[in-house]
Amino acid sequence: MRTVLALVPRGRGLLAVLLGAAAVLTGTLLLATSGALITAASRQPESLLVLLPMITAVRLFAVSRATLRYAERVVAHDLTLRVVARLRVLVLERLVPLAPAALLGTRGGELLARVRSDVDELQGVVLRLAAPVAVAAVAGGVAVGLTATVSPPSALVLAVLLTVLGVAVPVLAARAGRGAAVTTARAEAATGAEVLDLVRGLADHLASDGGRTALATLDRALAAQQAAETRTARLTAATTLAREGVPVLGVVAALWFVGQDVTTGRTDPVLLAAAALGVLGAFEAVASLGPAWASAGRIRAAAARVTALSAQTPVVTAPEQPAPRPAGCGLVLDQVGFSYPEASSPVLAGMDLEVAPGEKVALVGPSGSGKSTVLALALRFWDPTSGRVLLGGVPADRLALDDVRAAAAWAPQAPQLLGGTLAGNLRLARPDATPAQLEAALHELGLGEVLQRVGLDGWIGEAGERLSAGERARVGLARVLLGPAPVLLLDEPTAHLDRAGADRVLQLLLTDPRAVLLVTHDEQRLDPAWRVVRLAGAPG
Amino acid sequence: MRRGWTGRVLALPGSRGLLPVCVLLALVVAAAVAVQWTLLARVVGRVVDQDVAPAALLPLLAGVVLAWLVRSGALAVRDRTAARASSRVRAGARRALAEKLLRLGPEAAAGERAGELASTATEGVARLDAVVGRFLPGAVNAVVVAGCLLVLVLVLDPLSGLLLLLTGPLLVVFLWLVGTHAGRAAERQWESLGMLGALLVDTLRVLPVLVAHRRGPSAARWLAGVGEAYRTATLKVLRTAFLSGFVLELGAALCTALVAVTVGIRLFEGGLELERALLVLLLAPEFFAPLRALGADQHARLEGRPAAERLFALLDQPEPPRGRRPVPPGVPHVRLVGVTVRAQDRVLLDAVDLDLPPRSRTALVGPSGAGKTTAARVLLGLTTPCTGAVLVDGVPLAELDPDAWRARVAYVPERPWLLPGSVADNVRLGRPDADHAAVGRALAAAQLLDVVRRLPRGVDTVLGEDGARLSGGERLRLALARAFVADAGLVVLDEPTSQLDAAGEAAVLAALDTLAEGRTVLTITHRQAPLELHQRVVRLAGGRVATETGVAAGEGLTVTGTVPAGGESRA
Repeated sequence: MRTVLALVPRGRGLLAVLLGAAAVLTGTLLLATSGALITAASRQPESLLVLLPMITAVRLFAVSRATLRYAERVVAHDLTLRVVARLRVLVLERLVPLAPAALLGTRGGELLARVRSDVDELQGVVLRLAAPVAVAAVAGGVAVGLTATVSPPSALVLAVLLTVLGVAVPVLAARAGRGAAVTTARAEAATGAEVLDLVRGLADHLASDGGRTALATLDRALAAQQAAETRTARLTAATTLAREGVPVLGVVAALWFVGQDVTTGRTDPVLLAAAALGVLGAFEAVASLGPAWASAGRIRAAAARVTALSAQTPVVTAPEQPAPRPAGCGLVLDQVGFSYPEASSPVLAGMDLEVAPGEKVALVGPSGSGKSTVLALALRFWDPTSGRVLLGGVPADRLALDDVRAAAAWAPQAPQLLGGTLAGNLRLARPDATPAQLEAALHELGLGEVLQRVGLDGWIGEAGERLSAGERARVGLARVLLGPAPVLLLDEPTAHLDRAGADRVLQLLLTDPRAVLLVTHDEQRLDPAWRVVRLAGAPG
Repeated sequence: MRRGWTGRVLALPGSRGLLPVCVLLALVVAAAVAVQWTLLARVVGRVVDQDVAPAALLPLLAGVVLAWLVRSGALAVRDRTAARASSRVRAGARRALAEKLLRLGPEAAAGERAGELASTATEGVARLDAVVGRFLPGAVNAVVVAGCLLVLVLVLDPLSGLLLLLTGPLLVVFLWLVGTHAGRAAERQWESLGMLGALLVDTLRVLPVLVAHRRGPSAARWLAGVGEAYRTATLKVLRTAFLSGFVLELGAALCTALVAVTVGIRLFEGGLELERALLVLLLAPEFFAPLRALGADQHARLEGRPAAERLFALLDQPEPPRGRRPVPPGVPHVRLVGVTVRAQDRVLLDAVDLDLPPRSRTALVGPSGAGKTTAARVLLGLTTPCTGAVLVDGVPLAELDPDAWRARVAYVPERPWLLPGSVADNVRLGRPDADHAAVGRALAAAQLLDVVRRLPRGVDTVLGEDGARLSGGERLRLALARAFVADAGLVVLDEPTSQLDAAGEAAVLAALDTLAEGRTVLTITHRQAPLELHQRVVRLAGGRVATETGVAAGEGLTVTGTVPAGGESRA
């Protein structure tokens, strides 16, 4: 929560609170002055001039109230959008050091729904929580003070009732609603994940069982969400009852105490209606606290999840004083052992591997023997459990993370393309590449036809879905080849290609001056120029 | 049109019955408000005019409290009823959307961006809450409560009543004028919100690659820029949208002030008594309160409008005609006759003829983008040909019941989709009522028993999102097990072994050979090993059939060069 509140700019926050409190107070004063005016008029003073100040005040309050309220809403919403924008960036920035290792275990759809809906939920932190609380404190305090000048007992009752409505009821409701808030948020996230799964896998669902399973799962998620929302609705109704009902006690108390003072002659009768109406108006100060606290549980749950996300320790950390970028660019694995967290047996044990500058090495071995893991270790997505990874002779964990990833370029097995254009994807590897260079990179991989079809700046669809799997793989490869890294780490780059395409890619890699570490299962297709390293699968 | 979409939202099954309940409760509220303020005005009048001590007015004060509580209770009941109706409506809309998507098929989801569809179903539907949960009860209150109180004030003091009668409708007109403008702007804002969501999702999805390319920080900067643009756009919308609130607030406050001043002057001149004047003053804000609330609710309703329109546009999309004829029993004879498929401006398949006799085994080869996967989708009925037809035992596929047809076809894509459930759940996708033994036999046939035994809870092990616990070859064999248990007549495989090493491929092919027994098989591949299992190799190029070759004959295989004979002898 504190992390989130720290994102609120101070000056704008204060301005929003002052405007809000002033709007509430002018409303209260409008009612009170009107009551006083009517009572005073009914007592028929000698001249209308006696009423004139009250008439002026009534008009002034009427105009300024609407203006103040408008200004407050604009300032508070601007504030909210600023906070949310900062929050999105904060979340992304904190996810960057965790990616990709710590993200592997989380359900993709849930993570996605979580970050989106949590960030959206946290929009309310200013508008629904922080601002109403501050406004209530300021406006409520001033209103109680004003009432005290007329009738201290009424002020006391008002103070108590404001505390009950503004603090006790919301806190109780929040405690009762905390469980429901968490359940609702979770149910909502689960529904989101199911919907996304259905949309993304529509073809697969239809092909496997006509979507029956997906619908049944969605139904369960929807029912859970409805049940959670029903509990929330009950609580909302209870707070409505308190919010609407409690003010009557303050009004009646004001009538009682001020009325006694009037009949005993201690107070001007003009103040009776003014006090009753003023007290009624003062409750507007806490009116938005009921809904505020109803959502407080959800907001706090969202803040907690976002904070927990950013509090995760990255599996790799950058050294405090990184070694200078090495001159050499060889890759060495020295007696490396590795097991994934929660895995029962290691993936790699005592592995030695050396890729000299310019050398072409192919990693082969059965599925699950740790081929992709070797690449992930070379990129320092993970640190080995034992042994060392050396880049240019320097242990990878003593280099700046950016230097590690500048030394080695990676094409994952499933090519991850950004939605957007070919140029945008290629420039990830080399932001300053000219169009001619981009086109050359595509032509080199036989993507001339694609280039003609979509163009460098044509829309390739979400995740590149307008391209075929083979084309996506080659674009991913072109991206890596375009980059300046002296070592290329390629995970099954030919899996999606036909024979001619695969041979072309392998030949291209051989003529490239850079070192290549290639994960493949197509051992028989390799030219003898490749040095083949076989992973047998870990012992056990 | 504006009434159209709100009306449709309110006609959804979940919100029926809400309207009469709201009207009834609004009448209760109006009556309670009238009683409450009448009694309070009387108390003040007695004290001020007749010097009666409050202690002598206890019954009146008790009456005030009681009426006040009745009013609060009615509002609470209304809130709860509306919230539950809204919850029902949203669940119903999501369900209807899911069913519609399934009927429309994957082409509908490909045309519209998947992220956008998902955000319509989640955040878009969530915005219907503003219509059902807030706008409807608010509008009813505005009509019923404001109407009743107006009549009361007209009776009590015609002059003040006239003032309200003039101001109220004026405010509603203002509300409508500002509202339509805000509505258009809200639509634009919604579009940018959808884009922002898609961008965040997209960025998170490719985060590993961004990190590997050292682009994490620049992605954050970029996102900050998008967020800033969104803030500016939204604020512009809100500045206008808040104007309606400003006008309402100003009108209500000015009118209350006007009532106070005119009533005050008439009191001064002696034309009115205090009790009645006070009651009129107390009723004026109560007349405006529901109208003001309506302003906020109207804003919320307009925010929901683009989402609702998108939802209804989707629900109204014409569905492809569904065939009703039963699928003929036995292993089908499938033929593609002159099938042409175009997508956007591209021809994916161009007059393709392909004959798949019962129990034949055909391999489909060709370069990337030749239309192999499209051909498989056409066979499954997931893609409808622009011209030409698929004939199943002579009957056009379009006339067959698509669900029944898909139940008879086992589809094994390159990267099969897995349920987040257990191993057994995934096998049972093929046939939901398969018993334990059948699941075991299918796993054995797919050579997965060893793998499953190593899992912590055997066949009941939960695989996690997208089968995270399995290797590429294992998930493929799991999909084969699914095909075994389904006992399908036609098996379509799309690149079954492209991601596997030699040993993994051998295991899959052995399983495939068993599976193929007595079924029609079509395998898309660019690998050599699977070809040995097939009798015939069809080569696609540029969406056309280039060559058709018998494997057994081994004559001039353009793809493989040297394929040993033997496909036939295995059968």
